[in-house]
Amino acid sequence: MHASSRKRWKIASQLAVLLSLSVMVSACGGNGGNNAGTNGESADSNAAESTNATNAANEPAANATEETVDLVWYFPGPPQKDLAAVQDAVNAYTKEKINATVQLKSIDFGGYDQKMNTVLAANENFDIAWSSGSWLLPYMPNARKGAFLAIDDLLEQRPKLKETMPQVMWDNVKVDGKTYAIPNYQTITTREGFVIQKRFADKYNLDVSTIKGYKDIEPFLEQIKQNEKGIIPFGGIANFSSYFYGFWETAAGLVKKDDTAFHATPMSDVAEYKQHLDIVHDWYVKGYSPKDVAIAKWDELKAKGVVAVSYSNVLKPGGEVESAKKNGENEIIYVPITDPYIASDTNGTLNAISKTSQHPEKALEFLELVNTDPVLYNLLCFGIEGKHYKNENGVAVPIADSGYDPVTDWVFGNQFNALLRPGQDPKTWETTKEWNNTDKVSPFIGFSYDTAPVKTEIANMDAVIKEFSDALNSGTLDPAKYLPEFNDKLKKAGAEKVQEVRQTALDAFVQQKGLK
Amino acid sequence: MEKDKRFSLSGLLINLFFVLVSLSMIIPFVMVIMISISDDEMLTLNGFKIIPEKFSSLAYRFIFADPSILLNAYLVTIFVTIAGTLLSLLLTSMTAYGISRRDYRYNRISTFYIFLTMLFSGGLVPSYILMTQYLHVQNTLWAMILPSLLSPFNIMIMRAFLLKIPGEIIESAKMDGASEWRIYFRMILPLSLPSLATVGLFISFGYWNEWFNALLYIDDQKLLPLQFMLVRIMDTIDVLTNNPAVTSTLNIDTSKLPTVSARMAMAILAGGPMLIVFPFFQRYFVSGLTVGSIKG
Repeated sequence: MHASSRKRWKIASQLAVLLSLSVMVSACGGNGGNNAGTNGESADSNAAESTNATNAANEPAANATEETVDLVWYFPGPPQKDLAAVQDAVNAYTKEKINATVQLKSIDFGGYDQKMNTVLAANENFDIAWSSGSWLLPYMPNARKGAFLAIDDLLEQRPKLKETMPQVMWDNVKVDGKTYAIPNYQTITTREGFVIQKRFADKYNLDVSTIKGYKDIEPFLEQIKQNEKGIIPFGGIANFSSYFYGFWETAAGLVKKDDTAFHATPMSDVAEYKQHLDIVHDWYVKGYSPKDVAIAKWDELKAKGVVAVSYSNVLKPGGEVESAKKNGENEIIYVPITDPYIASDTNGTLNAISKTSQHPEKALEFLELVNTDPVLYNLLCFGIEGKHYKNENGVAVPIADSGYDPVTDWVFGNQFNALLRPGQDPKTWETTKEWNNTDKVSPFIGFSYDTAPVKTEIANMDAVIKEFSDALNSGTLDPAKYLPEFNDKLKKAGAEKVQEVRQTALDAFVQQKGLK
Repeated sequence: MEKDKRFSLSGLLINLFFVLVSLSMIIPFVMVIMISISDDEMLTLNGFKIIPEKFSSLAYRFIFADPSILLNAYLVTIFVTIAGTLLSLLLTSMTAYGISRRDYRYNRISTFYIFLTMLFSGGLVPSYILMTQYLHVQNTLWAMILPSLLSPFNIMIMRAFLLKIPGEIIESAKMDGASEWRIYFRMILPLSLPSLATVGLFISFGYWNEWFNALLYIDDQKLLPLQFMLVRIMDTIDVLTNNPAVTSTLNIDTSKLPTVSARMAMAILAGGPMLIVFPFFQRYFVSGLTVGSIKG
């Protein structure tokens, strides 16, 4: 019996140890840096006494009497090995400037939506979240749901931040008359045209000044087809550019630029669309695009460098560098067929302050610093100088395998403060500013209509559009036969009723804006 | 009506059916292996082939270029699997044993209480709040072990098995003066080995494939499990390639995304070890849940 009681004691004690261990680990394990609010000793105590509390609002001098605020910032990006080092460098800088530190919570693109939705639903305390126009964590629905804080009053105290962008940006970011985020200022224009591999353009002496429209590229495509084995002359889909054909695109359909009656027509009904489809179908028949053009994985094919010409609707200053990366490091030239114009909303990428933030003023102060201070901004974009990149006369040359190169400048803030990337035209930001100040602005920005009365019809139409659009736009189907069929099916789905609702809403919008 | 027909049509059909079923399971797997050792250029231009047109070890070289991350993820996964399985088995069998005892007065109500959680769950948000705001286990290994520690389904399986153990065993052990702990550790656990193995296998698969809790609770790169790495790559590729209209306006460096063959190589590395473990548990499934301990 002795042995058994000893054994029993042994088992019981082991269990006790196990349980107490688990309690201990769970109690003190998960304090992931939440104790960062320690008060650093101020080096010179004189500064604290002489600071005048009344005009300290815009003074970046750290006030030694107030606690350092620790902010939490969620944003998406590819995982970076050296993020911790960058965070330390950022914190050393911001602590001195605004007496705040920040936890950079970078979440990969794939998980961002799910994670943020959970964080928001759980009412977790955090300060800043990145949001996008219509992609991850979409701005408008989340602002309406009350996830973000309305910051109009706080913005009034930050004139420096307001000056970083033209008024049109601040107008467009308003949801139901209130501002819920700071847009990241970047290229806001659309410009469409051809993306051409330079090596072929040089080889066949392509005169880019002759290319004014879709048809002008044909002789070049023919040359590629005849002489370059294993190269696809035209890759992807040449989208119908409504601007090129003389329309403004709106949620109600296409409106002729000079139409004072503001009559909207669905894209599939305008004569120009038919012309355009004839061109791309012709290319398909002549073999400029492969037979599986509508379903091929163009990103992967371009990365192999086998696509000579493709079409893009986002030609932007200095973009040739990015395009070269996507085309297997082959040098690229842009051949635009439209002017730069502003077609739609400018809320592609923003940073919002959370409703649950304990320090909204500090969070906004921090965002102001990110958007106005190139040192901080470039630290976030490129990492630590000498460790992650070399600064060669304003060009940030990344150091290979340094552990920090997210290439997500558009996530953090005002891109005009960025250093250049290797190969980028030094005039990039000047040109972008020029383009952004264009007077070719769609009068219909901000127009949307209530889809509720025609929800069913729109769903049916979407199904039809999905069935036909890629096959038609890629030139795979003969428009003479299939475009009428497409329109017919749309009519059956209720297109006419929807168009009526859309036109009524557009008329009301035009009235309200005083265009008529 | 001859019985010993060598050849019967029905037999042939049945065999053929199972050959087809087996093939439909084996071929995709062989495909994955083959794609992982194919040349990417060929994959993009000509699609997938069972026999690669051109071999290439580039995918594996890409993954092992920085083995420290992969090795670290492996260690995390292995630790979570072993620790989680052991702890989970202990708690599952204890719970199941408790509610299987007929002389425990509240066994019915306890069983129902556990069963109820199979029908109704609190959902994601309450569990997220519990984990982050009460237990504070974010960024610890516990975040991946705790949530799936006790599954009512596994408890029910164990309970059904333990109910078959005759109560007389426990009675006689008591007569001999054994304590409850002793009965549990010395009699019940050895007797329920087959069910422990079965349930343990389920549990360990669950832990091995753990990624969702890592997504929710883990920010620290050093604590990421293997499967999460794979899921992360796949999801990111999905998000970036399914919205070309949006992503073309943003500068996203897609050149760093792994190729198709690298993704397949990753899948093999992530799933492989479990394929090796599985046959060792096979015999417990085949032998069925038999108890042969009482004689006379």
